[in-house]
Amino acid sequence: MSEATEQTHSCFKLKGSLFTLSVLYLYNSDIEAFNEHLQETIAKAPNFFHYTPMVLDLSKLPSDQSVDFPAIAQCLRENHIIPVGVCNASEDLLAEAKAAGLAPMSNVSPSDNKTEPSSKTNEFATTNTTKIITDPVRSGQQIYSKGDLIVTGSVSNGAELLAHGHIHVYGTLRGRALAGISGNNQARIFCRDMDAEMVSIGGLYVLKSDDKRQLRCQNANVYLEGESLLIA
Amino acid sequence: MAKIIVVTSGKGGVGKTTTSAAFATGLALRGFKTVVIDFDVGLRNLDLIMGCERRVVYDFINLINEESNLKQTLIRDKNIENLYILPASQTRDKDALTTEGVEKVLNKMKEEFDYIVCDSPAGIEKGAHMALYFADSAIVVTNPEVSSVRDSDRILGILSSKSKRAEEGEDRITEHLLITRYAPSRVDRGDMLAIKDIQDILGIPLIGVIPESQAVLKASNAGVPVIRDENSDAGIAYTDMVARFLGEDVPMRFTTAEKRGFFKRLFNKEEVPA
Ligand SMILES: Nc1ncnc2c1ncn2[C@@H]1O[C@H](COP(=O)(O)OP(=O)(O)O)[C@@H](O)[C@H]1O
Ligand SMILES: [Mg+2]
Repeated sequence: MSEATEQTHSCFKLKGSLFTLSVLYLYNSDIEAFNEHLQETIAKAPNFFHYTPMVLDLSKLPSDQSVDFPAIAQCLRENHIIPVGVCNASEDLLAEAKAAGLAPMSNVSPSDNKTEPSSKTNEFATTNTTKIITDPVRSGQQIYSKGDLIVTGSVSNGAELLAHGHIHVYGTLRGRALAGISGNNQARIFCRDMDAEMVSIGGLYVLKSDDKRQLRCQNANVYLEGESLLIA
Repeated sequence: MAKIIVVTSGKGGVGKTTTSAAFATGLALRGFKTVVIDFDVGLRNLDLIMGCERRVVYDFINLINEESNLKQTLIRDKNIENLYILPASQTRDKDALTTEGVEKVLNKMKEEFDYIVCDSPAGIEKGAHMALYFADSAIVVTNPEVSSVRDSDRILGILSSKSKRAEEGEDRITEHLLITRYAPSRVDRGDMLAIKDIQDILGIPLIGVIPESQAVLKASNAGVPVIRDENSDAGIAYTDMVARFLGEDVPMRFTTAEKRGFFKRLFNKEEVPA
């Protein structure tokens, strides 16, 4: 909030920031197989892959395989996924990746089981980090949780809740609530008194201006069923 | 040790300066040594409302820059013994209000006063942030309209996240809602938000309701805070509000159209159009 109000005369300001990025583990660099698998994955969770920034992790790639980075990058872009960098690449591959316009990302250890290939692509494991907010969330404030988010008070117009998991609001929700923001379409929004500006799950949203009656109700339970957002 | 109270709102023109002047005067009338500070650098008008504009020599920025001392800078009210005014600078830049500078001045005044009332400028930028940063209590001035309530809500968010108390994890700032320029007849017509709607949205305790009143304009033209107009509706409402701030249990007045009619009859000299 303060950034917008700090008026400097310079053209920009550099600042470090943390973002959640999706990682694609490459098992095999065969471009045709890659494309095929990509199409299948996207078909299962189309909302998740809408201009999602993506990092290629090469830790699972057999060490003798070469990679056609420009081809992979192009394939991703054609499918509205933005390749931003690579990690866990050998020195040679890293040089090629850089030449293809990909940023070297710091290496992470491939320990999470959620990165194993799975037939259930929408199983984006939620963590146990539940955030509890006991203050009212005021206009202009944004609360983010890596897991579930519980707000015991009210959420004002112009305030925003973001959670990778579920969202619970025990006061009145007048602002925006976005659950399952990394594509977890099992996430839900529970709300004792809802008069929301917007609710969203896994990228699918409903605005107050679209449907006034639907977003005004008591004891709301918002969830996804297939491609539609239901409010009960 | 003085208590620091910020009078704030986000939105301009809602009655912060009117309230700061009335509230500080009310505290002084109750015997507390009180200073009221104008944080609106460049647009000072607290001195006008307090009727001391011709006696301004030094200002807040001079004090911060140590170009003057407290004794030279504070203006003592002509009529009320315990009341002092610290005017804003009319010529300097807002950036002259540094955190360190403001803190230094407040610390000096804390030893001498019971209450320090900070009249905040509009907006959520530097001046407004400085006015609320060191506060122990806040009076959030809100008009019964959607945009004012929204701006008050933003200010409440800033009080709970960007004040010194919030940053240092101390007890939170005590928040009070003051609804001003309230016109019950317009609420009944649906032109204005009702008290309950405002309270529902902001969720903080109500310390007073000041009616829309011609006494306010009259008082500001005369350079006498409206609380000194003891028979006026706004003056009475501010006196009640000061009492509630000091912990007294006083019922709300001027909140319904009927009651207002009753007081209008009682003080019918107030009915002269502006
Ligand atoms: N209760 C009231 N009834 C009528 N007019 C009022 C009332 N309170 C404030 N005003 C008028 O509203 C205008 C803005 O008030 P002011 O106190 O300067 O607001 P702020 O400091 O928030 O900008 C002034 O013209 C003032 O006379
Ligand atoms: Mg003012």
